[in-house]
Amino acid sequence: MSSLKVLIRSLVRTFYEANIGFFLVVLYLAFFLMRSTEHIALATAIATSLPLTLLTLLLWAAYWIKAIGFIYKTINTGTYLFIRQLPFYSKSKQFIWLFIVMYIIGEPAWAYAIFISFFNFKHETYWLFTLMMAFLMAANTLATLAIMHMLKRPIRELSPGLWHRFISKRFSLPYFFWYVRHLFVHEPMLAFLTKAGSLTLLLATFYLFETDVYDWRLLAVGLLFAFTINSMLIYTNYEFTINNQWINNLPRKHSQIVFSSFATTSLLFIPEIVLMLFHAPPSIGLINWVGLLLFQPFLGYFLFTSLVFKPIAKEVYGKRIFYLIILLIFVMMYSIPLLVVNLTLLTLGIWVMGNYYKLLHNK
Amino acid sequence: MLQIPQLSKSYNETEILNIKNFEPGNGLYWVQGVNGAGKSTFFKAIAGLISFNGQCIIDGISLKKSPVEYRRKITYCEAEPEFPDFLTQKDLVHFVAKARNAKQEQIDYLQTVLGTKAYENQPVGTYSSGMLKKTGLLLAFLGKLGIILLDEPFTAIDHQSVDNLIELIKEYQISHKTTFLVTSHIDSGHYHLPFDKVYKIENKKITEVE
Repeated sequence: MSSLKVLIRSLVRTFYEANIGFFLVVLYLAFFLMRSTEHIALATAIATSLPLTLLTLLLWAAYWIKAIGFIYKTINTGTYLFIRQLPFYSKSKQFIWLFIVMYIIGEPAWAYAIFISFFNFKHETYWLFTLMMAFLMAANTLATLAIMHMLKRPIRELSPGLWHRFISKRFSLPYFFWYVRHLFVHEPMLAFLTKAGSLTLLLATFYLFETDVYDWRLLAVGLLFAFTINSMLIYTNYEFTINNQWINNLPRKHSQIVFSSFATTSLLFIPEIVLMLFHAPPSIGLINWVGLLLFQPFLGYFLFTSLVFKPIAKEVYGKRIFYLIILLIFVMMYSIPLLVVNLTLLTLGIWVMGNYYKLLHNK
Repeated sequence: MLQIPQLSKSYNETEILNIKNFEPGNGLYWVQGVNGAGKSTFFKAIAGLISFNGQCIIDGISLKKSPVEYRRKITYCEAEPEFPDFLTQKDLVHFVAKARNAKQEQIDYLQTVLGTKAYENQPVGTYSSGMLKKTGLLLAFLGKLGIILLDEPFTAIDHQSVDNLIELIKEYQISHKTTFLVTSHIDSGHYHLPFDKVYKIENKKITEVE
């Protein structure tokens, strides 16, 4: 592998892997929530207005600053210490290679700029196009030079400033975010494929719902199947909890453990909830709609707590999920209200977690 | 020749090192110190990897004034080297060798002596701690160097490799006139090396052990 490829794999791959969550959100916004007409309207607005162009450039500047900060952190970690040999190459090689690296990292901005440029040409706002391209070239070049400079100098440990300490003390990442962060950093493919599969299935269910006269049970069954796709995330959440048992051993109250485990599970279903909010069918009534919205998080919480309380092997897990889904389909068929099902699942989850807490603390 | 008129290093306002007038000259030196004495920090500072207050000079080249030229003359092998899991030893060697103008013959020779050739195409993520250590050592020996800093070089590697490494150090001293600063524990094979002097880092200072 050439030195350039080593650099690209080390810096670019690491950057995209570490920020996969951010890019998933962007992709979700761009391809699921926004329609093509909305994309065109936004691009036209940016291409014809100086303030909006400047706002876009400001956002890109923030993106580049984040990218530089990320690379600075990366090249200062023990794993990537070998990259500190880069200054021994000729200056032209260093510049070209790092320019390419920063270009690939900045590719989302470049791609969107090209998209906007079609509208610049259409509306003959050539000077806004020139401004945008000049900004991107300057940002790419400055980022390259900044990293070249950083690589020459010894690593400077940044002691947290007053503002950072203030923020960290008040807004440090709560426990319930830890698994989500772990998932998107260490298993991004699993997270992406699961969410893509689940959301596609839900969308298909909503479209089916509109083709004829159905009641809420069709949506509930659709949610159940989407949940089946998500069940692997519940299992990895359970594995994460078991592998980081020390978190549960911290002197926390029972209510804190229940809340953080529930919040973690609920976070996993936010994309589904957001999608549902955008496709609320008016015919099924508010109570059923709320029941549908809460169904996946409550079911997920119940499944998670039962796994923590009574661990099972991955091989058996699929079978367990199958039985659970069949059972719940029967529950749906008998029209048992979803709010009752949800409350039962939540109560069971809290009860199981309570027993687990007692077991953990020998109470 | 390494000259350190003054070097102090603090972490979070706690001073770890405060060294004055350290000039070991050319040769082979053993740097002792209990865990946490600051041996690795000392090595990282003089390798130009971490910031510190003071000055380090090699052959008249100042780290503060010409960091790249200074670092060209010195390498450092960490006690527990780490590399990205997805790269292979071949990738790492290629990257460092090109940077340090090391020739293919030197790469082949070092790979033979350290016994790393067999797994050069495997991703680093599959390596044992010994394989990682040998890869770190291989990278540290690449190029024509004035000073090599070896932090616990004999830990994690097998007996045969310890013997080979000792011979390699002696050979570099003779053929390349390389100066070595080595940290090592009593039970890790350092006693086969003909050290010129022994230093000890204690209470933030470095002193010669008689």
